[in-house]
Amino acid sequence: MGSRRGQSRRQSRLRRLLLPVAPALLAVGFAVASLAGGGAPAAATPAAPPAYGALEGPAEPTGLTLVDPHSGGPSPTGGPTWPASPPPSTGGSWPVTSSIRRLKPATSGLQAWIARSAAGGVCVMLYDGQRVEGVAAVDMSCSTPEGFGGGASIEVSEIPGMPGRVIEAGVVPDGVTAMRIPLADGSSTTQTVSGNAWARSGSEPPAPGSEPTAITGG
Amino acid sequence: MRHKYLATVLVTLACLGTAGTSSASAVEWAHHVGVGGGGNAFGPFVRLFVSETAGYGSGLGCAGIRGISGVVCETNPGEAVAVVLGSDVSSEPYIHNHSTFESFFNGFYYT
Repeated sequence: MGSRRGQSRRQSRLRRLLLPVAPALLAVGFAVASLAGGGAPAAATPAAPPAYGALEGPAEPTGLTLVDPHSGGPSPTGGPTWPASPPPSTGGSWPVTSSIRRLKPATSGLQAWIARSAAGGVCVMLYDGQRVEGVAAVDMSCSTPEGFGGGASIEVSEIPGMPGRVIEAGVVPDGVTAMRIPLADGSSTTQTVSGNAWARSGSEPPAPGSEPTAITGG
Repeated sequence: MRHKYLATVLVTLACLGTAGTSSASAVEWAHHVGVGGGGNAFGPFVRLFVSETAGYGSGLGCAGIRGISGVVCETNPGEAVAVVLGSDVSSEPYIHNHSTFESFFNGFYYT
């Protein structure tokens, strides 16, 4: 009997001690649960990684002749060429030759390609059809590995034999259907994406210092 | 005598083989060079088949080969751009700053 009374006294003392700090303890509990991810929706699914259907296609002829740049002379086919071996010290930002696939940009007179970069990004390559001194220049840019999902694009201007001409080309992931490109005169143009590729050839340069162009669709 | 002749032939062939092997190398002709907005920085007159530009910060860099190619510009800061030829030429690689403010770039050519 005496021990039961003692137990009851201990319990009521514990209640008196805990009551004032109960709200604080509850708040701490909620915070810990949230940090641990307890607040995440149960039905959440991880987003699918970006993909490029054009990269997965069969290795058809690319229209790029692989050459040794030191062998000299013009391309045996008269078309654009590409070094058979990657140069050293590119820091990995160079297209993997076996992954190069031809694109079909809607803009006539242009040839373009997509490739994986050795560093993990995605690359776009462009030939504007102009040969200078018998040499065809292929322009290229590769995204950073972190930028793989954002695509890659380049802008080419001051092209010999094409005064005032500005050419842009890019690759974007599956699901993107159009690109809106702001221009230097304040207007903008929308280019259709086909097979991961878009291109533009015009006289108006894009807006200076423009950030990644807006993507619509997808 | 025959062995000596054979050895000479083999050594000669090995030397010819080595001489015929192309060995590309990269030269960083500009490191963290500042270029004013819209300006150019020209490299040395050399034999080259690639001109590459890589930028720092938020500047947009471009690469070109004087008199041979157009100027190819990155559209996202931090991405490298390059002009690639199928055979080497004698010319100057150059960096163009496509931004409206001074930016810093590295310039490479491959020879």
